[in-house]
Amino acid sequence: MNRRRFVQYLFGAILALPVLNLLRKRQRPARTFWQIDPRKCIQCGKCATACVKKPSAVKCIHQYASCGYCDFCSGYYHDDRVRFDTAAENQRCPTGAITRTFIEDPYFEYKINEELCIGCGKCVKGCASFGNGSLFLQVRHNLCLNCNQCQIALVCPAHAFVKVPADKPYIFKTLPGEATT
Amino acid sequence: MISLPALLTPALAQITAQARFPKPEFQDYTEPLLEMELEASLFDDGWLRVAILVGLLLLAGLAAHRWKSRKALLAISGLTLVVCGFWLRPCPCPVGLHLNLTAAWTDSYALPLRLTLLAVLPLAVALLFGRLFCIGGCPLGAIQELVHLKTVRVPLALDRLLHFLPIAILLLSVVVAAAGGGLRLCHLDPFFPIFTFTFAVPQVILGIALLALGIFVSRPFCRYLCPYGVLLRFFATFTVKKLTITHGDCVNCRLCEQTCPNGAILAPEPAAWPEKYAAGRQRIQRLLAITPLALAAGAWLGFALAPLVAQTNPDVALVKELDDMSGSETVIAFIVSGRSETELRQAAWKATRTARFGMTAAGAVGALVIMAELIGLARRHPERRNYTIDPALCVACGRCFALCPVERARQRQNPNTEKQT
Repeated sequence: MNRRRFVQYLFGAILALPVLNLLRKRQRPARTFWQIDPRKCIQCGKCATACVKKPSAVKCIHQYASCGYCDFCSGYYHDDRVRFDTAAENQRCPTGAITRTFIEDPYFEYKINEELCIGCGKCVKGCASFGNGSLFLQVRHNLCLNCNQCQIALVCPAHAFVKVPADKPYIFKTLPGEATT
Repeated sequence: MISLPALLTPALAQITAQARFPKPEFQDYTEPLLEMELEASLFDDGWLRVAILVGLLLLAGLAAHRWKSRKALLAISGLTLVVCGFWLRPCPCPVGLHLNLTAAWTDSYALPLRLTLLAVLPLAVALLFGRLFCIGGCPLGAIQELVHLKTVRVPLALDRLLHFLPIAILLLSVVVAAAGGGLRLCHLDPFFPIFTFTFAVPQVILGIALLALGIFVSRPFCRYLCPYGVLLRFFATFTVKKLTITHGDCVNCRLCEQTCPNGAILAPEPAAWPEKYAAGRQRIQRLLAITPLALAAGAWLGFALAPLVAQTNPDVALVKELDDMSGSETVIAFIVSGRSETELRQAAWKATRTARFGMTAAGAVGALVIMAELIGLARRHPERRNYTIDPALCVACGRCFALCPVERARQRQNPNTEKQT
């Protein structure tokens, strides 16, 4: 065996190392997706700007099960609201993505229009500060490119971005009284 | 600095937010269901990508080694662009997967076999048959290949100097990934916005600039920026089956000399030293003597840059902010999360240590590469009787096949050998 042949075998062995590394790890690696852990999120607003996609793949989700259906919704209405109507100056949402519909006295339904939502988290902050916290930001898999390295994950101050396995692709906010998963 | 209680109040308000208002009891209303569509985007195309890669590499191998057809190689390149560039999901791709391998080596993150194969197969093929991935399988290479129209030669000295840049990028990105700083190459990829139709401004500008440059300077990204190209070069240097310009015998007609835009064709040379034997021997001795100094200098430089690299790790950055007593969102989020400060500092120390070790080693390796290149220049050149392809630099574009008169004559006489099955 000459020098060249020896080096070829050596390089071949180097290439086998990553494959052998797999045997070292006991757990079966699954395909993973990016998700926000709603318990850690502090609604800093970076989800709207850091995503490579514009508008962001992060959208506000409304968990109706924990909503209070309040007339004076603190996620819908601004702190300095002038009147309680649907005028844009009274809304927290900068794009007007929340629609407010009357159901029965005194309850209103608040629905997110995902096409307008940019994932800025202002409504989430309002709802969490004075309401039930039924609004939260989450990555939408039909929009997310599932980048190898999520750009938002790098800049998130709360390190709220986690990788979840394919069989549980969405993390929801736990309801009051529910056990945390 | 703002007082801590004032910072905490809104944050604390959030974590105690649940159920201020009771759930209403409706008479005539059905609550909408939380619709989260899980559709085709969740299909795991891992093995499909491996299959497509194997197919493209196989085709490229046939086109470059057996058929020697530039037309076939261009077609494969176009196919790669469409399938791997636009149709398949962009991530993860072989060009960045070596960082995942690094992360998998240094912590509990495990890479599935299908992705490991995606990272390792092009390198294995490079070891066996040369850098076929660059023409069949890599969309970044394909887009540059199709954009290159008029070759402007880069001066040899500049070319060799610029070849160190991707080595530095590779070493830096590997250490950052190993220190838990994330897979930072992915969003520095200048062609990612083009393939995904997203608009990260600095990247798009770099991508368009590189494409514009690529019209005249062949494959600027591949030769001077691509970190995976360094690995491919490394494995292709000792390739088992080298690419030849023609199946027939080279007649030294010199027509191919100017055809390779990537500088991969080596002209015939008699065996000789670049300078007088005694002077050359002295030069090599001097270079060998300063190699330990160079390694030490490289290691020292790496060590000096290590804190910067360590800052890419979020825990290390957070510890710095805590020590600076800044009131930033990161600090607030940390306080709210209830994570133990001791645990944080331990994790940060571990990452700093990894960054230090990694950067020192990277500095030494970088210095070693430079010294090896310099010593190589002073070495005796082996004899070359004909025009040969440098396997480390050849990306199998096939321009030399199309121009070589011996090859063209052979293909005209035996049309069967063009499409051998």
